[in-house]
Amino acid sequence: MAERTATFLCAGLFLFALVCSPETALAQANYEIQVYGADTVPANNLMVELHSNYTLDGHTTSVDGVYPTNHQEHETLEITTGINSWSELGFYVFTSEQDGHGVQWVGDHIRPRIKVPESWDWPVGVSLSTEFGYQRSVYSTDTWTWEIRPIIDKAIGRWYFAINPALERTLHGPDDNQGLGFAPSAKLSYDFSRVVSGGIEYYADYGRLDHFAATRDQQRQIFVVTDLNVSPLWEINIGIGMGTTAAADRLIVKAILGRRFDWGRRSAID
Amino acid sequence: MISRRDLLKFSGLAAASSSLKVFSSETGPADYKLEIAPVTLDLSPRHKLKTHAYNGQVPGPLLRLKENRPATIEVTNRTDHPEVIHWHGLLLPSAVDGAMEEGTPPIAKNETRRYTFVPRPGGFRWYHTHTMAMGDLTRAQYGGQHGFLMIEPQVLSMLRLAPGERVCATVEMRNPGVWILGEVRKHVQATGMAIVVEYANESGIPRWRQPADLIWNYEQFSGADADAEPAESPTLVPLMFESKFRGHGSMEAWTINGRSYPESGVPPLTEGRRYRLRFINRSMDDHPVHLHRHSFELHSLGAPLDGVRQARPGNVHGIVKDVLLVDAQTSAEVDFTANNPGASLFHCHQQNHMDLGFMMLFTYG
Repeated sequence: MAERTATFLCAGLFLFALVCSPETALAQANYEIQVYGADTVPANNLMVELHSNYTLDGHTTSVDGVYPTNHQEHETLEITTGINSWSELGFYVFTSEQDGHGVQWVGDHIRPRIKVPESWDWPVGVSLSTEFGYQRSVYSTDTWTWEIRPIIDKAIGRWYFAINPALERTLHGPDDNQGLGFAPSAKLSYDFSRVVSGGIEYYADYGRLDHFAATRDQQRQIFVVTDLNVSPLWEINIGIGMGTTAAADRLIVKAILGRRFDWGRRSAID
Repeated sequence: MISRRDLLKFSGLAAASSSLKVFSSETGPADYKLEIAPVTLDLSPRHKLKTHAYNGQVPGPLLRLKENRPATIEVTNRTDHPEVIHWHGLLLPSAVDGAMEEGTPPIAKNETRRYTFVPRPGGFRWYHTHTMAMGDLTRAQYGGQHGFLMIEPQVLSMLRLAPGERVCATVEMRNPGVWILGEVRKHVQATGMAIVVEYANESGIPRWRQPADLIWNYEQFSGADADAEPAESPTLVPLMFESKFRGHGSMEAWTINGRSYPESGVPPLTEGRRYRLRFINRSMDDHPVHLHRHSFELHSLGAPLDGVRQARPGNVHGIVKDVLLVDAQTSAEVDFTANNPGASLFHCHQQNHMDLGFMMLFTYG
């Protein structure tokens, strides 16, 4: 039963992707390649993550003054603090390293998030994240952007799936009159053992929500990933991704290394 | 015939003589001093009885001791024959229990010896001589050598109850007011695990006094000799508890010796035989385990499985239960006698663990 449910949801996601009509797409920035789960960082905890992404085969020419992505190494520091049992606040520092440009600061984002409390006893995990920030024009034509990301996830036995149907908006840049863009992502994984999980992650940018870009202009990527559940304090995610559209980078490797710190260390009495 | 004035001379403490020998197993002042000496009792104006007594009185003085708090009784023998005092009803090592047959050393004439022990269990007990009388009706239990012990139960600031456990506790209501009786862990109490206890004619905001330390262990209720072993070696039955991963989206299943109920097997038992169940908890959860239709006596508790951490010292002998909390990554041993033939279920008393395989059926007879 659980397997059928997971298969149904995965198939539904891909079907939706196939029927959407294309239109102009926004540029994809591979600084944080992650499908969010619904859970937030616990209160008085600090989650420090390093997102490392290397474009093995990307765009080799500059477009609109933006550096080509080929052989760019992106290192993104994400620091998230749990505020209470249902909210957190994250902060990003984006960097890029590339021959000819050295190590460069790309920009910063801030990301508050709230989740549906467990006491509501919903059948799926649900949270809502919004992200706002700046990136330099040599890395993105849209320098100020805002994203709102609903997050839905569910674990059933050894299967896990998550959907992030994110909406984006340019606040300053050539696309600031394009309205909302649709940039969904999804994940389906399987627990091979208590420690090793493996699965597929899908990332896309379809362009304007009311008028999708042409397929060739959309950015779609599929990653094969593994998550290593070595400890509740560590997050380890490794994957390799392939672009399935002309606008996407063709081959990327990614890794996420995270460590959770409990600053509110409490006694047995607390 | 000894007058009442003479009788009073024997009350209380006697001065030590130059030939007095003192054997002290502990230094420091004794909690009580007893002198065994001849005494004449006035049973009636016309009847006097020559006998031996403690501190010149029959019964001997009431000794008030605290359960589980070490006490020292210093005994001086002013009689002409060896003496010993048996602490009746207490769970003590043989060396101080007070029977020469067990190995308690006698107190020779004009000797002083100390009995140092941890009084348990709580309650009203007595002490008396344990010598041979033969034909002497003034000696041993024919005489006046007996007295009473009040072992006052230990006062605890908190109890820990695992699922299925229970405890009988006496609460002295001698502190009028409005109080909170509840969980000692703040985050658990905050979920509602507390009640208000209000004395009659009292009002106000309920008060909570947080224990400074959350100290709880079974050893504080033990009693028997830590080194004592049963006369008949019990048959060992090892039971290993492990979890089985079923995905991060499911609760773990549970196994005993590698199998989940109903495939967990039925250990063969023989009616009347004594068995030692060895609980080996390889999981990361504590398990309150229960055996139906039987009680078991604790033998050992809290031995780490990794062999690296120090085993928690302690004596749990003499504690009889039917639910035992076995901590994660430790082992424990309990003894029971198969004296109730039929099928008896053994299981973890956490509902979700029971539901997911943590059960085993014992059957015999």
